[in-house]
Amino acid sequence: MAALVRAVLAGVFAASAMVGCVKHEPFDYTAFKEENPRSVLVVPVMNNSPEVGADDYFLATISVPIAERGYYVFPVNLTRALLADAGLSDPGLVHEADPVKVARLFGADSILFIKINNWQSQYLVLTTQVKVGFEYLLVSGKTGRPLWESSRTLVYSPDTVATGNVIADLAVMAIQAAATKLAPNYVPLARQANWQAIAAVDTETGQDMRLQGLHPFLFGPRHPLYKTDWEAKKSEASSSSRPAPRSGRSRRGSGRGSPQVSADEN
Amino acid sequence: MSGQRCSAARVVMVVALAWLGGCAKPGLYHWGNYEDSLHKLYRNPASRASYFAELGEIIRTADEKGLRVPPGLCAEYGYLHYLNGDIDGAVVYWQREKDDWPEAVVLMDTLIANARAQEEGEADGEESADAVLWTEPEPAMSEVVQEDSFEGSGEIVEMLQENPPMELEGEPETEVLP
Repeated sequence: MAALVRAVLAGVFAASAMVGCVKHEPFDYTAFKEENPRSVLVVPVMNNSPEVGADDYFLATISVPIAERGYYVFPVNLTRALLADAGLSDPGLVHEADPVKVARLFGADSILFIKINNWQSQYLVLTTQVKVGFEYLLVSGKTGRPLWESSRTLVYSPDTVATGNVIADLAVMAIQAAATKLAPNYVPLARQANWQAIAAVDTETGQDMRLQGLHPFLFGPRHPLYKTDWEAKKSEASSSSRPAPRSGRSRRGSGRGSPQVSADEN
Repeated sequence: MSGQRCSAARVVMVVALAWLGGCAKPGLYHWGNYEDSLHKLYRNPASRASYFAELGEIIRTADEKGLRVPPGLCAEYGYLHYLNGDIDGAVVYWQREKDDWPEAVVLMDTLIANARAQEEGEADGEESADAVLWTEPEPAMSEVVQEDSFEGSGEIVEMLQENPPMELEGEPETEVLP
């Protein structure tokens, strides 16, 4: 029995280790609140990693957490097509364009830039582990100033279903590991990453990850909890000596693929 | 022995994760299979018809059950009508997006105006300054080939094909940021 308890503890510990350790540094939401955006334009994701199609996984799963957080989110596929039609088919060009001008064309209050900087697959005996490094940057559509950002690394293992029978489960896991190598589906990974960043929610456990130092979008105008998180965050922020998020950093100066933001964790 | 214990721990961990994952999150909107069908479209552009069907299904189901249609969904559905050459259908859903979401008014007005102008064969010189991006709305199949960048049809794409790659980099500077 004691062994079982130990095993459970080990399991829970391992699970929490999977999402990485996070610095508990309060985030300054001053600019976010001042701007108080109603809408978010998600432009095509920049993929600086060797994983072909990683950007598509992230783009396809970003709208749900933003909308469910209470914001109007422009349809990502239409956005991408319109930008491509204007000659901005390369995400790098979009990321370097003047955000104010892009936002004005769409009538967007804010623009979200996502970059995938790292993607490492590790093929273990019974499973495949993927380590993904990415960064999110929300800028004002009016001034181009940064409103929010999040930069993280996520370690992901595909879901497994257990029957309680060790031999059967090992067989299932082995098959899954093989299947993952053949036809990986990283939609759940990208969903997890996006939900954690935007809403600080762990999609596997439903857990609120603010306790682990994640700083999500504030609740938006369409959410019943809109502005309920303003006061708490304010007092948190006031205890921080940190200035507005990367206020000095010029977006335009951050060329393609440059390691501009030191990770919040790792 | 230690190997067995390790396996047992792994299985217990998996059970714990499965148990913890049981709780579903309540949502503001009815999404259907939006994410998966969009990703399938990216994987295989030929699956646009099933993406189109899925979006229609989401909107129908939400309307029937009194659930809320997510932001952007009607705009996207209208765009798929447009790609199919159904401009009236496109305008219906763009108008609905505009009615449901004041946040979308600027973009929907632009799209509706450009689609109408295109329909009337008067695409040139009629648009407001805000419409500069889309004075020449893309023809029906550009969506299908856009991932492979320059194989698509349409004025801008043709222009890009004629230009060498170096000039291509400068294109949006002159086009979008006058």
